[in-house]
Amino acid sequence: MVVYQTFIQQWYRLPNELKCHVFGFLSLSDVISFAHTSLQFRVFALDCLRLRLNELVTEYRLSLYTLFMILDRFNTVISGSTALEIVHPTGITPNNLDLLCPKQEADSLCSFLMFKGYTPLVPQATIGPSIIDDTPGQNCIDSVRFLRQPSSGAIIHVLVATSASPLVTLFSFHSTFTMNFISAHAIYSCYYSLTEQNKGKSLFKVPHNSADEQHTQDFEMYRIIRSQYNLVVFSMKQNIKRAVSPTFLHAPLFRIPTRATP
Amino acid sequence: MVLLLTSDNEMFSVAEDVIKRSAYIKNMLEDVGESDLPIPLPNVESNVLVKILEYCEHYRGEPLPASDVDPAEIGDRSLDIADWDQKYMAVDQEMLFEIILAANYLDIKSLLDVGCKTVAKMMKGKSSEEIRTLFNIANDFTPEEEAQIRKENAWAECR
Repeated sequence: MVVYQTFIQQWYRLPNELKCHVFGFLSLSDVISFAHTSLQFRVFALDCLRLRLNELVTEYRLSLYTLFMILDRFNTVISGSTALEIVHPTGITPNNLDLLCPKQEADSLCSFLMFKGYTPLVPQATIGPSIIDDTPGQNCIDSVRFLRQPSSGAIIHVLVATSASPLVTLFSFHSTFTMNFISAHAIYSCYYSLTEQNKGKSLFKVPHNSADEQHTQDFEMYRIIRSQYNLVVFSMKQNIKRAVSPTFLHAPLFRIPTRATP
Repeated sequence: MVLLLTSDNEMFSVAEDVIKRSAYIKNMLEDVGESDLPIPLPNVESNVLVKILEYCEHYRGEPLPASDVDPAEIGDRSLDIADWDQKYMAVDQEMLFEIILAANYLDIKSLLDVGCKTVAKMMKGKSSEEIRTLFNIANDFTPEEEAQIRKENAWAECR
């Protein structure tokens, strides 16, 4: 194995924006691997992910602080293409932001967004379960509300869950594109591991597969059967308080607010 | 022809359509106009500039990136690198990082992306332990911090 002895010395020569640019090409699991190598990389990875998210939500005129406050106070998660872009960056800027929220928080969340200047497009528009599912209610989406940022035109979709958890919509939906989400505390990716490695998954034996590939698939099937999902989680909190070198991206862009106690 | 003066005082005479791939030089030429004076490049050494010019020469005639592209545009994030670019980037690490820094200074976005993708590819698909060994990174976590990380992720481990 080639060992890049001088990599770190060279890496330190790059300004932070270039380091972030490099990290911008890495998937969440690669960023996590780097974050677990040393404290400095961990802090750096956190900041890069925040900057990546910040880039994606610029059009929505919500600061990261406000966005994470929304996620925390309204028990809401970000899903859809924005979460996918954080987990697997492609460079495509999503044209809307999907917020999944529980039924009892939907009105408060929409009121807050309207307080922030958003205008409702189709109030209380409901995606009829029959459009997506044969069985009514199977997708666990009570309704979808569309709110528009007047100056940028950016659209937020508020997907209201039928239950007290926003995640029921995520795991009842057909598409794996929604299998990533960002909560107030962490980024979650629930892809099958082969999907995450862009290898797909074959449910049938492919005769031309090499022994290695077949072994990987067999192992994957075994693993899926046992655990269903490969869950990759990266906590957005910097729980480790020790100070790190100021040459890294340093001050947190925001402090994650804690839920007010009643 | 455009004259370029590197940090080690070497003078290069370069065709305008070659060096215009650098947005920095292109803007400077537009601002200053025709001049016999060399453009100083205090952040670029001659051996790096030779390499940069090789890239610009290869892509001579290719359309330049549009100047009205929104800087906030995130751009392509795939790790695909063209064959020629891969061969071009087959250099030692020091030169690779020099090229990235020079591309950043000269504002050659396509070259910057290729350089950053090359570095990202070195990092991709490796475990933390492999990365530490490969890149010679010291593990500076205290045992308590390692325990904290394990605790954070324990519930998400594959079972």
